[in-house]
Amino acid sequence: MDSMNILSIFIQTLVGGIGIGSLYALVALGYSMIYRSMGLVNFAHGSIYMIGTYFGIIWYRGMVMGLQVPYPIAFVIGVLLNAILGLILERIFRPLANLDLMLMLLGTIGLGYVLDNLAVIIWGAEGFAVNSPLPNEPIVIGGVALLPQMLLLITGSALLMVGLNVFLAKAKIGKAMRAAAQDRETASAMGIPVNTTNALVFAIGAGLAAAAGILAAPIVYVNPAMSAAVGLKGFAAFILGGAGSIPGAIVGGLVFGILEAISAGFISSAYTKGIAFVVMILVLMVKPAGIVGEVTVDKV
Amino acid sequence: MKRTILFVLVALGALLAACATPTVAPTAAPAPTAAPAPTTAPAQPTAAAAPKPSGEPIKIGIIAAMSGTNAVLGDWMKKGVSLAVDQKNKAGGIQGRQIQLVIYDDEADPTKSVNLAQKVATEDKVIAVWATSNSTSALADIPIFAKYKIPQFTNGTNVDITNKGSAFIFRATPAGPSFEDTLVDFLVKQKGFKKFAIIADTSAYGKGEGDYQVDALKRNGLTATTREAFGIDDKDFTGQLTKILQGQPDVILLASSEVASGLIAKQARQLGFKGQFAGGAAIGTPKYIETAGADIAEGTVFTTPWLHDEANEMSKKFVEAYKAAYNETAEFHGANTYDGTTLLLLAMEKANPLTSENIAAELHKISGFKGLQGTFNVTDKGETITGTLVGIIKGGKLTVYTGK
Amino acid sequence: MKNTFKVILLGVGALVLLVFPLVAPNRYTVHIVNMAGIWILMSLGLNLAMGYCGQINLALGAFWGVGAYTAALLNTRFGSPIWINMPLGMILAGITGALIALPMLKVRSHYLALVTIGLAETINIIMVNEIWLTEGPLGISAIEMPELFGIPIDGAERFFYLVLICVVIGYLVARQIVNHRIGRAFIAIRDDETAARAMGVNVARYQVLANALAGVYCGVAGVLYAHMSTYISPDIFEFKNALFVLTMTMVGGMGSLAGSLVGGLALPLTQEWLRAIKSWQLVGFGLAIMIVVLFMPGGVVGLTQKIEQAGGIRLPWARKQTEGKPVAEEKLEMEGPNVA
Repeated sequence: MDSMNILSIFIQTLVGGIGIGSLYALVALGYSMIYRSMGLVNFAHGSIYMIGTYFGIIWYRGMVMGLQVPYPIAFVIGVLLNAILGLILERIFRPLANLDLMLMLLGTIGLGYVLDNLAVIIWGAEGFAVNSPLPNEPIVIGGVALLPQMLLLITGSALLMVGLNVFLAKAKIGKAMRAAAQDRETASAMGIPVNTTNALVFAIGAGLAAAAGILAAPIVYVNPAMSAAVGLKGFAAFILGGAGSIPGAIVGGLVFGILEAISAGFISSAYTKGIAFVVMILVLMVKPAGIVGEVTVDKV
Repeated sequence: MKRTILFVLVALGALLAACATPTVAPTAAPAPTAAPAPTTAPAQPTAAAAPKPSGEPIKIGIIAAMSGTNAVLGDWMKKGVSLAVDQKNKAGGIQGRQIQLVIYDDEADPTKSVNLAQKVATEDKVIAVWATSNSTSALADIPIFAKYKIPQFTNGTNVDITNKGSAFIFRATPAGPSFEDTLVDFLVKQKGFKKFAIIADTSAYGKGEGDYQVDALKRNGLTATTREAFGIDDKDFTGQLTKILQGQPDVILLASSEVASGLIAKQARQLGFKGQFAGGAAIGTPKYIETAGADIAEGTVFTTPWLHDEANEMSKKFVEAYKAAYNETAEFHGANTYDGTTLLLLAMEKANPLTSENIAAELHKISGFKGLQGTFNVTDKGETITGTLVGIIKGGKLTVYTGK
Repeated sequence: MKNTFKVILLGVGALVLLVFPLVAPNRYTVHIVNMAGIWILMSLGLNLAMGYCGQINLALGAFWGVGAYTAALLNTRFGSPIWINMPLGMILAGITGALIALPMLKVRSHYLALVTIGLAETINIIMVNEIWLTEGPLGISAIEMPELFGIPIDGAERFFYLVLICVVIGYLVARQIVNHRIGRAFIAIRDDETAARAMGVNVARYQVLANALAGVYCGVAGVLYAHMSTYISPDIFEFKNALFVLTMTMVGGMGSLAGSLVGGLALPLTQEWLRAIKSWQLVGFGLAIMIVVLFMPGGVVGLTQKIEQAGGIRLPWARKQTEGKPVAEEKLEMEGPNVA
């Protein structure tokens, strides 16, 4: 085996890791946004991701009144619907944010239970495969096969991440959100409606999760059980990068996805998840607040 | 301490109250009797099915995953069993008594499955049971049904199920090696393939099928170029597949669920794999075709205990009845649970008096019985049938391989 | 007068427990109660680590699995009886608990939650993959029902007494621990780690000890489970069952041993009882959890305390103040931004 070959194999594996890592990153962003503004660790976020995926894909597959909607429109509808769901859920989550971590954990898990089982009741437990709106033929560059849908997931995620950063830095309401996240009391004093910004943060988190789910749906498979696996890995990415940090969530997601792909391809495929978790624990032992570091301003 | 005891008392009171309330069995079958269960003597395995006055329905239990990832398997089991039972009930039942199904969801969790096995054995007092479609849950339930001497049917394919020394376990479908041996023999001897890679998940099913594939290859003097594993929740297989493709196999043998196998086939093609896909029972399902996409699934070879065959009168009737009852196309899980239930009903007709133990004894005597999956000969260990047929996916449909 | 009342209650309680298997409507009921006993043991362990010492721990499934695998392997390979397996299972599970505690010394709150999940998952993956040791995903069958002093413990009714003895001993030991110096150190660490350290408490040592104790309790539960069900497989010890124990402990009352008893009995029984309602059952279960969290954060035990405080009455089972109030009632100094 020549070195060129090894290189392309490595890149191929890396691309797979980046693809699935983008998915984790988008989900982790939701965790992070909500955490930095409300101090809430939302263990129901995996379920919100699952519901968001359904919200988009049911239109694309013509499951609503037989109305078949093109993929980009279904994407927008799904993101918006899930953002609205986020607005509603924020009301329920608000009292949870002031509780102790254990209660927060249990309360949000309870809500996740409700969402998961409602999904089973509404859409059934079986789930379905989703056809890609793009061609299934890969684009081959230098021996590396790039799947159009995977490229869409990666670029889509990248755009959303950049957009989010610009929004937080430039837009008035985005600045308000940052201010509220940094110092709730001063923000209130300055006339920033903290509850409204929190609701918006929740809506954005839910919208990002829906975006991730709808972009990844043609690669993965859609069923109510998808909430658990991605929810856990998104949570891992959120922690690994540094809770509450926006770049942290992105780095954490990509690192976790790449770790999984590399250990599957080069170390031991039976231990993929174990290796990813052990590396993550070692990182946390060295950097207990994550790779980028925790972002909360009211540090005690 | 005292306070605690009071808590225990309150909780215990609630428990006893709960137990005293007759529970309504969740079932589609005729209304359950709400008679309070008689107290049984402790520490003595009671024969679960003492003769009852005629006219009272006979109960058959179903324990299977009705929710979660494996919900489909439970649903198919429910449909296959219900169909056979409904037909029997319409024809007058067993010895003038109707048959009633009590159905429970074990969520594919062995601890829950064991709870439910205790429930159907001692509370519902079923005469026979289907438990379950999931190999680890079926294994967990074996000691309980062996103890109460209740015939237990499963359609799990793991060989170990019938190696536990129970005289009360029956597998209504061929064991795993029947699928993989036929498959590998066909691919090697008729198709002339030599380089095989295996990708198996780490569940009991995937691990088992992967092992049988290794064994089958070995009998043909071959070893797999690569054997890769993955967790049942995984969705991206680039790492494993990239590694597999380095060995340049002719065939990728799939040993996992319908959905994961479909995703793997899809991703392997996209990574440039041009060869053959093949696998056992799970691959011979519409779900695999749906997940992989019809164009990618095209040409996949699988083995299955049953495929609809227009020429076969029995098969035709079954497919029509299944369609009429559920408005769905029958697949092999429906067929093997239907077959198993037919065997069970046959044994129930013969058992005299009608007790669980007699039914098991009658089941062991069955030989040469023609069912949907072929000819049934029940062995001492509880295997009922061997032999699978080779199928191929053509035009997005599961078809019997005919030599072209 | 009041004392007589308590003695009568205690007597009636003991009597009900002793005759329970004889009057239970069927063996299934006894089995479910036995299972509840196993959950209670795990919940007691969790309560010591999390409720008293404030160490978030979601790795219980792994400890439980280590106990169960120890018993199963020793029994099926060497025919070793339960009274040998029990101490070994306790030791090994205790060591696992102590090992899992090591990262805890560096990592806090939600980071810790993830680390414990990750370690538990890794142990589960080992159970699945190291077939030479664990027999893989298919699990271990034909574990023997135990025999003690020549009496075969071969049915749910007899097993009930074995579980009962373990729960009673487990509860009494836990009670001793929490009322002892160790318990006071746990509570001091939970309430204010820095202050505890300043007072000369060896924080790290007690944190490791708390988790080792959680391991030991789960080890007992694991050994009992292996010998009771006679079959174990890795999927039994997955994360979901750790969550179940967490839920029952919080519903009963975190930071209160009585809470473990209440939650450990109430939750599994409610779940069995509600079985018929299917998916809606699970929706209701989720809603019930949220109601507990939002409206009775101290669990059932915390609620009785509130009633007591509100009405100025003293219920017969009121707790001594020294036993420490449920953690939930006081927000720990979590690094969240909302600590106003």
